[in-house]
Amino acid sequence: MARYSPLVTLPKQTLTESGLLALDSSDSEVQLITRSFIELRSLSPIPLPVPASAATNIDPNTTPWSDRDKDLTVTVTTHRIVFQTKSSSHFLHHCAVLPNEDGVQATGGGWTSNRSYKIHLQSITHGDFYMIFRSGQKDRDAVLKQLSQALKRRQWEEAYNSSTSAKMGMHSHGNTQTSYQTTSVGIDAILKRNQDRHDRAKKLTQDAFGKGASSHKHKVSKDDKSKEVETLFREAKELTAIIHKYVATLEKDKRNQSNGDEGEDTTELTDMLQDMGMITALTKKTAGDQYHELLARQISDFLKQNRKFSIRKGGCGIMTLTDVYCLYNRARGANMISPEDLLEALGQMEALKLGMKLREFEDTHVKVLQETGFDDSVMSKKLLEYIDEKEKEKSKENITSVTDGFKAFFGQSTGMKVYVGVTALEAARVLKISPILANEQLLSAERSGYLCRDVTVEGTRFFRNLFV
Amino acid sequence: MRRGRAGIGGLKKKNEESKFSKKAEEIKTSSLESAMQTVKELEVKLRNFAETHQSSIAKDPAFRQKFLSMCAPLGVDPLTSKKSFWSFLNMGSFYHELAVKVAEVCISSRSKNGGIMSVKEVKNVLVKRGTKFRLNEVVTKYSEDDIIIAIEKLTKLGSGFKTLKVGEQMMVVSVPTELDNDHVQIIQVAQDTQGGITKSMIANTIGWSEDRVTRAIDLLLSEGMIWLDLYEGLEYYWFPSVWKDSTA
Repeated sequence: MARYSPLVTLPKQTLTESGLLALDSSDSEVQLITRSFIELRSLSPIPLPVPASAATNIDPNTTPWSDRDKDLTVTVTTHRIVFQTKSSSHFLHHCAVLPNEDGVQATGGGWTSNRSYKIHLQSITHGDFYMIFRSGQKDRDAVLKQLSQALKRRQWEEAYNSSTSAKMGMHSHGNTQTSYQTTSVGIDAILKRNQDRHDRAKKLTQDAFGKGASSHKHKVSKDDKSKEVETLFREAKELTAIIHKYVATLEKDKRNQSNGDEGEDTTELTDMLQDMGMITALTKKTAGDQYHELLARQISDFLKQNRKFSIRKGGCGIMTLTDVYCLYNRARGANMISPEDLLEALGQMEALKLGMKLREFEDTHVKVLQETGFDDSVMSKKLLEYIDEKEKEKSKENITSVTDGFKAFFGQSTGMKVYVGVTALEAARVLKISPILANEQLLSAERSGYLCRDVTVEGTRFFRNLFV
Repeated sequence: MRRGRAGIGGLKKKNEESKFSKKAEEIKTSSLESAMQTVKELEVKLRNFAETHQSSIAKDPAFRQKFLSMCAPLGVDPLTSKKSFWSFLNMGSFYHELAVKVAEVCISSRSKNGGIMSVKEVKNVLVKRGTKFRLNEVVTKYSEDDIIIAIEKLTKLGSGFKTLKVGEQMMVVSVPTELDNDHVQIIQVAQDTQGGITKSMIANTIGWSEDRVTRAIDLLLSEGMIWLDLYEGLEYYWFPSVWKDSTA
């Protein structure tokens, strides 16, 4: 039931599997800013045409045209503007915006008329639009700044020029490195901005006290430094003791009270504590925390492209957390994530329906990430097939008599059956997973009754369970 | 005879109760405010310190160690999350990168030592490979303590990474096997002997029964952490993880 409105006349924006924007990584497209509560209003006097690619059953003659779409989330990237509702995403490429200064203009903020803060957007393809910022001037100004910068920079053109010249010269780096990389730069852009802010502040203090500090540098010996550490330690210890006391009283209160609303004041405190790295009983599990949610989506996108993990790509659908951590951080290269962040992000995956979830094995407490399509019984069956094959082979070789020899020659199974078990290392080779995981699969097959084990000094072998 | 809640006295008491709870609320809010105040103070102090000594933290592993061990009893963990206020130190990135490299070294040597190796050996392998780390844009030396901290971060991922102290040495275990005190003691004997040892040698040194030694040795053997060598009719056990001059 699509509405006939400006949004549907814009080209559709592809999303990644986990719902993030699929940006043009080969062109190094980067997300710049995102804001919500924006209305898109077309100023075109006649209804805009519906593109054939829209694939909706909107008949321009019968469906009523509405000139506005409300409550959109707008994302500005270096290459396009994306408009998103809960159900659909469309975009307008920057090259479609009028290239001179009139392309985007601020308007609104009047006293009696034209009161809401808007951006007047003039496009070559779709006519004029208003982007009306229901949340106010600050958002409008922030978006306008990013938008005009992006338009001025015309990054999509540079990339085109450089890539054509590169192709003529050396090899183009058109590797299929995942689209996640661009989006990770998106998050990193935010973090980098924080980092830059800190750097700038640091530089300022250094410059301000620089001359003084450098003269002190020679004089501060190791002893002085460790003395400073100790003084700091003492002072910090007193402060932390006080903090812990307060935290204890607050915790007690929280337990006595049945409702959780009073958490408003304490949330600020716990946020500050968490920021410093102090985890107390007050810091709740950050369910729905934006950073971890974004991280979860990025990791799932990355893993879905990974040949060792994704079932679709020929992997086995299961991986230990350590492997996930190493793989993902290696791919990231810089700005690696902490194990805590990984745990939080993975914990949210099931709730976000990203197609994979965290799982902890009962006895050994090994934690893994597994795809929803992964099934223990599939692995158990594979193991049983492998055992059967091996037993057939070995039985064929087990010639104990002349009749056996004849039988084997004619390809029939001989009398003496040889029972061969499978070790964790062999299972790892067969199932194409790491030995720790293979061990877990053997154990779970044993729990389900398919296999039973034989423990010797040489190791533990698993055989088909004939006792059942 | 009703006590307490009847009549004017009862009313007065109820009044007092609500007054008390009101006062408690007041105290709580003021204590909350002072708690936040104190936290802010602490934050400022720590931040100042860390900023002034940023380059020392980056360059000098011993100083870095001291800083972290100072934070630990305070309950402050500068490495927890990326978006914390410690991110300007960039310590997180350094330790995460180190953790990834250490994990790789352990995993690749698992076939040789069954999943246990000394921290010193890990460091040697890394140094030999020539891996360098950047901390705050300073290429830094890293110490065994750094490696230990990185491993302890990996413990949360549940794949069995843990540190184990055997005598004077710290060992890294990268498999989920549970090693108890008996195993540690035997490894210590191997450390002191630096060669193949037999069950009777172990039994004589520590003073256990043969059964106890056999049980522990069997576990280590089945995990691939020690090698069996039949020489001149005697069973010698070799421990790759404790060889001092091991070249990976």
